[in-house]
Amino acid sequence: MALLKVENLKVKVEENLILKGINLEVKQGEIHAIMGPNGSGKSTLANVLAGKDEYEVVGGSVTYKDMNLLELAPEVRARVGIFLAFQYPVEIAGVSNANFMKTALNELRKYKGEEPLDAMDFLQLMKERAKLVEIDPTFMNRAVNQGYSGGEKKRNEIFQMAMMEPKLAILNETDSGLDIDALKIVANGVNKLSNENNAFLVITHYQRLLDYIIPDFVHVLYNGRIVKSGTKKLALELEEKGYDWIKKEADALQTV
Amino acid sequence: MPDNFKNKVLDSYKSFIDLTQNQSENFLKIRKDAIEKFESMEFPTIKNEEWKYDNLSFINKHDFNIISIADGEQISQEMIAPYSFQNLDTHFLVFINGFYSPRLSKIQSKKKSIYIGNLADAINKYPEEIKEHFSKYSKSESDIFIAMNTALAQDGAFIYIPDGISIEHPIHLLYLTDSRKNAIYTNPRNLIIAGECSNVKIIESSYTIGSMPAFTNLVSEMVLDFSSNVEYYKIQNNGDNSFYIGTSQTIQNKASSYNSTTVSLKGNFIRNNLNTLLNAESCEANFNGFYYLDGNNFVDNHTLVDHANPNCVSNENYKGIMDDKSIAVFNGKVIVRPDAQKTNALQTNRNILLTDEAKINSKPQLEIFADDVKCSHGATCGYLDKEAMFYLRARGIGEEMAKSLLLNAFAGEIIEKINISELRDEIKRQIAQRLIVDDIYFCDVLEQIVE
Repeated sequence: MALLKVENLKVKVEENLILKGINLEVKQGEIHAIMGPNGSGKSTLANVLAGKDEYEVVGGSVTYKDMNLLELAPEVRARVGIFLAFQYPVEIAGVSNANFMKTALNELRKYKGEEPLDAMDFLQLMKERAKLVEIDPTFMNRAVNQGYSGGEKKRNEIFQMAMMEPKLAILNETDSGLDIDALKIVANGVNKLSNENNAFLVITHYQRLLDYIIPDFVHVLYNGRIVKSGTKKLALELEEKGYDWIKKEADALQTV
Repeated sequence: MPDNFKNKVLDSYKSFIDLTQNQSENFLKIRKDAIEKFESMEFPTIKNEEWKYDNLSFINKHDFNIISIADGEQISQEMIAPYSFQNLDTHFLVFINGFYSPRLSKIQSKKKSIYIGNLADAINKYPEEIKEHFSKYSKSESDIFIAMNTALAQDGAFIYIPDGISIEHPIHLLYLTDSRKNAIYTNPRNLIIAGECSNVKIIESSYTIGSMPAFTNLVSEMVLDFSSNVEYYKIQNNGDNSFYIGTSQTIQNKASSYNSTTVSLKGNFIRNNLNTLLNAESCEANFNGFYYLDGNNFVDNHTLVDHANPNCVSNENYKGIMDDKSIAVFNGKVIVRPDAQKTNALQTNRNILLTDEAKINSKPQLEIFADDVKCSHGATCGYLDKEAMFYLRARGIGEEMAKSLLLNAFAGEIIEKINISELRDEIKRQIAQRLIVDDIYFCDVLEQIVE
């Protein structure tokens, strides 16, 4: 069953057409990688799917399960199982990780008609999931992302993902700014969470991450369009040759 | 009719001065001088720089009765229960319409040399101290409200802490006005003397029982002796029928430390004048403030830190959240006199506006006459952080809840500075009532478990 169906999606940002007709289908149990040069629209795709304000959808549709995703507010998208791991997670002074996650989880449970988690159960859950990304439990009392290194912020994103247990996780350049050790921890976390019921959309510039998170499908995004799709082999080809050959191919097609 | 209230004050003075003939000559002289100064002054208008944003029309708009006799008999223990701390042992001084009520108050056991009680009794028990300090710091000629209070005030708190004493329990001063029958004016007067190396925590709160307008004009004078340490918490969460002008003048002696936290949550009109004179070296003054207003409420926090001596440190941190059409003023004045070398004076005022009609007027005033100093000030005013809001919503937290989390976090910086845990929790609860209650409070409980 298609978890996510993007059909001919066109998105504008401040009068500029960034996504020019995206077609993508993600089924349960699949890991899709979206690669592409800078400026291709990768972040725009991630943000539009999460429901960020500044984007204007001017054509096409996005269906999640059987819902029109574009009609849903950001918090509703999260509650129906979509998770965006941010490229630049924001710092929130004065709100602890515990406070943040407890509120998020209880909003989720309220939406599903479940009882809120009691304090002890929540604590247990947090400790368990923190282990997945090798985070020290004392971080629970620290303010969200405040003073964290890039690696810590990204691990916090995966930790939150582990807490929320989404159906569709979108990782927006989660590997950017990470050294190899941090990268391995992040990838390990993702792999442990991946199962036949959920799906991942891994957006990345470099193929390095894909050595650890093995994708089922690789798509190349260039100039607002998916210009090539393939398997993991495509990622290796990009690693070897760079993006130029794709750009040339795509540009040639355009002029035809 | 203009000056209606002024005439009432003059009449009231004449009628009650006969009742106080048994007080000391010195005291009577101070009062006479005060009423003369009062008569020569006018209530400020917006043309007066220090009252530029303050609409004082309420003074003559309501028919305020000036309370000159204690009449708190109708107030019962049950009625004041919501205003006291259930889980905190305090020295509890209750004032009804500005008069001490021994019946409703409760002082914990303490040494005889410590005086925690009311001014009216202290005038006779501590004549030397009264003579030495009363009206020496808040001058009648400087402000009409001080003059009015000095002329008319019959009672208030008198706290005398001898050298070397640490007061274990916080002192809670509760000022209740009873405006069930009439609009009323009260003017309590406090004098607090903290001896050398003494320690004390004071909580001041005011509430109105009744729906008629209530106008409180409070003046406090405080003396901090060598190396004394005073924490003063002012909690303002009164009704839309309450009008409050409070002036606090402190004089600090060497190595003393004065920490003041003012929390203003509700009131039709609130004006806080918080002044301290650093009268010797090595003093420290920390002024923290948090205001969260809605409706048409108004708060004006005027502070004055006078660095009259070298090597002193002052730090002012005021934060505000303004909703609906509320208006706030922050006017922080720091004077660094020519000899006050090695002064360290910081001042910040940060504000979040929740609506387009809410307003904040922030004015730092630094007058620096010494050259080897570190002084800084900063003021910001903005809306809720959009990136933070989206991050929270992207995790399934609804817009209202996300706003509450962020506002609570914003307030937290100041509220966490309250050193009395029961008071801190009470304030958090009062703030949470304006946001979304359950989860905010529950989350804090969780943090305690995690520790």
